[in-house]
Amino acid sequence: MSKLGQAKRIIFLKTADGQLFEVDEPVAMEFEIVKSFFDENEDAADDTVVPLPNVSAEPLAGIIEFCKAHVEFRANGAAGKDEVKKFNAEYIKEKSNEQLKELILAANYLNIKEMLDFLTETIANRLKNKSVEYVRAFFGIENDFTPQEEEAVRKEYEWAFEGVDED
Amino acid sequence: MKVSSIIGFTEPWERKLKEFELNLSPYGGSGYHATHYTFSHECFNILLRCSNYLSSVKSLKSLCLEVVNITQEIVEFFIYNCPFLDQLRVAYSNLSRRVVGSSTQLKHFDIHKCDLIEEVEISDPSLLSFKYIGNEIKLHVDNVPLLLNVSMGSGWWPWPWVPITLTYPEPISTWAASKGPERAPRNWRNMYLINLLDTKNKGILDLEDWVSQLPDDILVNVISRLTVNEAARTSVLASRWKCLWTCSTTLNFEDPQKLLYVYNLRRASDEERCKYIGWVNRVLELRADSNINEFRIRFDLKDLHKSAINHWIYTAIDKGVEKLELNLKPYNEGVSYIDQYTFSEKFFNKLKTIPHFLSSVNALRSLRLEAVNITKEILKFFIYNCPFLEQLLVAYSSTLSSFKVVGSSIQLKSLDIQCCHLLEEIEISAPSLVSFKYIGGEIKLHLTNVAQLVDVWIGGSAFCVARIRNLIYSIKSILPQLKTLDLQKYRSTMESIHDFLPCTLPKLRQLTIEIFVGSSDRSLIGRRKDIHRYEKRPHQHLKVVELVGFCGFPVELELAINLLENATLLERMIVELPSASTWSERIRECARESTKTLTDYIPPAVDLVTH
Repeated sequence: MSKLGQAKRIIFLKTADGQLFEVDEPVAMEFEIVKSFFDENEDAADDTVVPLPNVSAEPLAGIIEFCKAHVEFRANGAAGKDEVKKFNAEYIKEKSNEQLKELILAANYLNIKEMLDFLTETIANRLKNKSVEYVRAFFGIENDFTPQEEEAVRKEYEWAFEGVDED
Repeated sequence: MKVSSIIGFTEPWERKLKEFELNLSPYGGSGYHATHYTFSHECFNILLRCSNYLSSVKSLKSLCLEVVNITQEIVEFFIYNCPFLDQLRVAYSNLSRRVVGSSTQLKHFDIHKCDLIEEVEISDPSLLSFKYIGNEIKLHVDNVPLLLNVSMGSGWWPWPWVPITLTYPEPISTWAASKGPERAPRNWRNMYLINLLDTKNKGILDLEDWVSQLPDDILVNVISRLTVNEAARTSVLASRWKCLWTCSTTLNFEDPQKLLYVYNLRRASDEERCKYIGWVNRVLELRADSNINEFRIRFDLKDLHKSAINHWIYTAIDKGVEKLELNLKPYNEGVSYIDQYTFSEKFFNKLKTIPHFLSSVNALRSLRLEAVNITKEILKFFIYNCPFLEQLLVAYSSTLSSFKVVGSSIQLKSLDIQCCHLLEEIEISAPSLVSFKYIGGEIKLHLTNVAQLVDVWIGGSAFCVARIRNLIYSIKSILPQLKTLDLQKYRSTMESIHDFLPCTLPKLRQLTIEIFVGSSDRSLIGRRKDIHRYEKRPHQHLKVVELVGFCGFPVELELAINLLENATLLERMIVELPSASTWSERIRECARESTKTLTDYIPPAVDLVTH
């Protein structure tokens, strides 16, 4: 009840590279790791700074942008389905693979299911219906099989290559 | 343009030009055309005869020629004679066949839609970026140790990619010095790189193994979003990936290519069906030890194949499946209902013999059945015995006559009933229900105790156009709580719209309506009629209105205008005109006319989108 008259609560987060972020409570509570921090330390002072030793400032800023928008979408009701898709598409359009990787690692560490689902879905969509060579190039995966080993794996899952035009 | 008029062209070169851009494009884009200005040899020779031309041209740093026909020789002249030239772009030119971009200083090379090119050869130790948009070409890349940003694509929407044949000389260790020649990709042929354009030209070819820095569980998460074949193919990527896909608990038996083929013919052959069944069985056998979280079947199968289908359902439930989907439709937009697979009473009794059946079935969160005959009793069992069941879809069941979800403890959030042609009645009393979709004919619909319900979609299908009036009356009591409402493929008369629209829709944010105008109303095409204004009842939250298949009949125009006048916060009105394939040119013309009339009513804050 003391919360009623108060301004909305701000959560302080500190990144690995020492930057301090001030985040609105509902947005910060999207991060499972922050939520459980406060669940476990119920009497934590309002100005407690939550350390995030595995996240640096750049991906965190991106994550806050995403979660903030999604918290708003939810508050507005499911009505914004198209809006959400549009926002997500815009959001990911500007990201390089390096940024995408950083976001995934950070979202994974902070344990934000919705965002992680979205990011892995994005990657999966880029891989759908693509040849092995494409996926290797896309991910920059170095093929450490010998030709014989690769042939053996291909043979084992022959059915998965049916109808795929590798060349 | 004639040569004489371009003589002045020589002047800039004498002034130690650094950047030269000649863009003769009439608009944003263009194609190659013989009538375009040609940077001819004649003109070039004039240039060459200019005093000091060779020394002047040396200052050139950037050259950009758009919609200028030019020959390979002239391009080569610039490349070899301009030691500071680091940027070159040629667009919409007739530049033909073979382009050799061998130089020592060029940093950015861009070829854009030069339709006659067949082959491009690049050898340039300073090259940082290469961009190619156009038709299929053969691309030879050699000695480009600094090349990091490559983007290629067809540039032609909607084609998703253009096959570009890439050949790399051996050894290619220069591509990725850290990896050693034998580690580098051996045959990079047919790369589809259009995605590069989405990621701001960064990434793909920089060969940094960014994905190896992701933990296994994230990779498994990615794999679990692929089809079974795509997932299994990841095992060939590298040794780390060999077994990753077997950790994925999703078995999605969809083969989009094959499905497209089947859908085009509107049925699968017996041979294809056997092959599909063999495939599913084989994978299930292979993955006998793993749990199944998500199980998805999508193929044209019939009751004839019930032993296989039953086996799959049995296995999935036995392994604690959370999302179960059976989609046996022979083609995308419909079924024949003939010989359709039936989820039989007999099989249901067999399911119950699964050890710990009740606790296994407890895991179910989503059940989607399309072109599967099922009865209300079996559905009732799932609804009442799966406490976590949130999503239920039943489509094209020809045995469902009535459907009932009534209970205060029911967790169902999303209910979707489509095209069950014998269905007569639906009764819903489910406090958690958020979204309800019904497609089909006219039925009795009872909705009570649905306080959370905010998204409603009611519509006819292409085969059965539902009548709006009675269904609208059944949802009238919940209209005030709705946030989105879709009414599509509705046969309507003017009266029923009059009945419905003046209702208060205080929370509605998005409204989509497609009216199927009856033949009596159709005679009113193009006839002017006074716009009837409804009683003023502001729609305070309505932000988006979409009018599908807007033919501009008076009833539609009236609806649109009334919405515009009552929705104070409206941001966007989307008007989708009738498609040319189903409507005559006369109706389309009328639709365009009416849309013009509509523009007079659009307040400045509203964005009118037509397509």
